[in-house]
Amino acid sequence: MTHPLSEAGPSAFWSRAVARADRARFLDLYRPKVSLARRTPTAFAGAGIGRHLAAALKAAGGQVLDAEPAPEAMPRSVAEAHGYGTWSARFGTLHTTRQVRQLLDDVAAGRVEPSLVWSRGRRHVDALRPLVDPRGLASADEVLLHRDYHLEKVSRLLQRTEVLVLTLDRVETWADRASGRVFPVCPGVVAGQFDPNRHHALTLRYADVVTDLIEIRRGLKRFREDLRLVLGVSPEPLPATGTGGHVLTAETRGKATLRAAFEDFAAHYPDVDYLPALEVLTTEACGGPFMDRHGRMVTPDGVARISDLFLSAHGFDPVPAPKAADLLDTGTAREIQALDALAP
Amino acid sequence: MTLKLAILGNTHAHALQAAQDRTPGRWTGVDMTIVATHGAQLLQTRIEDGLLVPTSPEVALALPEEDGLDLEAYDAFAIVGGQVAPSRQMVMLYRGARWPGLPSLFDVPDLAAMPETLIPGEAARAAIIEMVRTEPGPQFARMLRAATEKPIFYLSQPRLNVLGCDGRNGHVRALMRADRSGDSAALADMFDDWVGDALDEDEVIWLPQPGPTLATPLTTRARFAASRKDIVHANAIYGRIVLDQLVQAARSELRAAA
Repeated sequence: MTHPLSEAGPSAFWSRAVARADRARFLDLYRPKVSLARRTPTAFAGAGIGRHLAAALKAAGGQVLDAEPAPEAMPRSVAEAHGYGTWSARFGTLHTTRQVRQLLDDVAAGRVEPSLVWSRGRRHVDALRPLVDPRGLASADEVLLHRDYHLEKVSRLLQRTEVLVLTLDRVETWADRASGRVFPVCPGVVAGQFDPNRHHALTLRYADVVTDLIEIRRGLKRFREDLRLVLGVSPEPLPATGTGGHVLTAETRGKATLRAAFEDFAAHYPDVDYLPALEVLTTEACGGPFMDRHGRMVTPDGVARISDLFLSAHGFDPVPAPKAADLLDTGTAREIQALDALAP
Repeated sequence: MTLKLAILGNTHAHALQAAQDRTPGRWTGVDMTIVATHGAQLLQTRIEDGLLVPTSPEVALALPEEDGLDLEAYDAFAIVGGQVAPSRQMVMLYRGARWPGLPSLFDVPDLAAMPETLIPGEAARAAIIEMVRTEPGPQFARMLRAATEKPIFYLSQPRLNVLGCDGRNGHVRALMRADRSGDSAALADMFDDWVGDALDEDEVIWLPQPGPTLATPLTTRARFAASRKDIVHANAIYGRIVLDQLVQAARSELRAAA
């Protein structure tokens, strides 16, 4: 008598695919539908691990797009501190699906809103990417100028992009009650002011994430009909939760929501893939977790592991593991530092 | 009371030495020791028991005493050249970037199509500061500052001489483009402000190139070239103007400190 399991391959069985497998290199863990070759114009956005995948793909000879490159003469430390060279544009960190959806809407509409400039003392920051300019800018007008430039550059980037790799890490965000606008950082933490009548903590549910993904895919197709998407969940934890509950349960719930929504969404579309970054980086079955002792940053071994998986699945040779010093995301580090300082 | 100045630099210090040699009586009450090395050789030194000690034979030959320079013997110090110049840091950045504050941006119809990257003014400032701080002169200034609390001045390296503005290399072309587009005055002002900020972190005082020596905001007048063949360095007349500037600044600083 036959049944589906009698016809399943080795990868379907824990005993073969995990317990007795080479844990450094599981066969068939990531079988991409989305093809990515040496000359495929590929863009990276989001949070966490994606930027390391971008560096690995570039080192392996892939075509990683950068719409807002740092000027050649700008020292690397300055470039990184100002959001250059990390993602395919100066997005700052895009943690949630809602942020990405909102960005695509803004790019399509060329929408720049003066109300979305926050102040910090006498300096001014872009509320939608408050960590890209560490000292803030001299005037609100300058913030708006750079916002407009960024949106225009992202528009041109998306018209050139064939594959967008999007790695996100949160479902919690902060929103404006009236406009529905979401902010990557709670108003008042690094700039701006929190107003309980205007702002609230927002936790995206599974259905919200899937709806956002549908709109993201639709939004991307406005720029390029054949654009394909690779989704991954990055394991870096929430530095603080606005739910009123424990940060660990909030974090676990967030990753579980993203994890489930991303794979379900990818299963539904031929032009969307799910990259199992979360499993590779955080589970014991894969030899991990590959996180530092505070559970906050992916280790160089972890970056090498997920990069190998990503590159080999697309036919690229492996690249050397990065150094620990190269893994720090200065923007996110500033947010973490500000939030850690608030901890009682 | 005699003002004792130690002036330490690379080949740009020769212009000051030439000025002192030609007009020795000009600065009465000032005793100047001028040390001219090459390139980044100022970094071939270390400080030991209050002495600036050479770590290479080349620098030992350049110092008045081969054993070293007694820092206690001087009232103030000045560093000359050290590879800090708008034609280096500022023009290098300008070749690939534009930022608010540059007048030419008003004439760009589509900023996103511009070949240079639009960067925040703050990023431009941070880049120049970092570029300047890693040059040999400011590195040497930091080492000196760690050993003395006396005033340290930093004298600007002469800007590119107008005689060299023939567009033969990318740097010069970028500089000429800055002039044509009306950006050079803003670039020069920003350069002086930002280098001043970079050096101020180590309490080193930046003395910008004196106005009368400038042809345009980013270039030096032809008559200050060391010779027809050497337009990179300046001559004794230029050196005299700079020494006047330094002596005045040092006296003023020491008076304020007293």
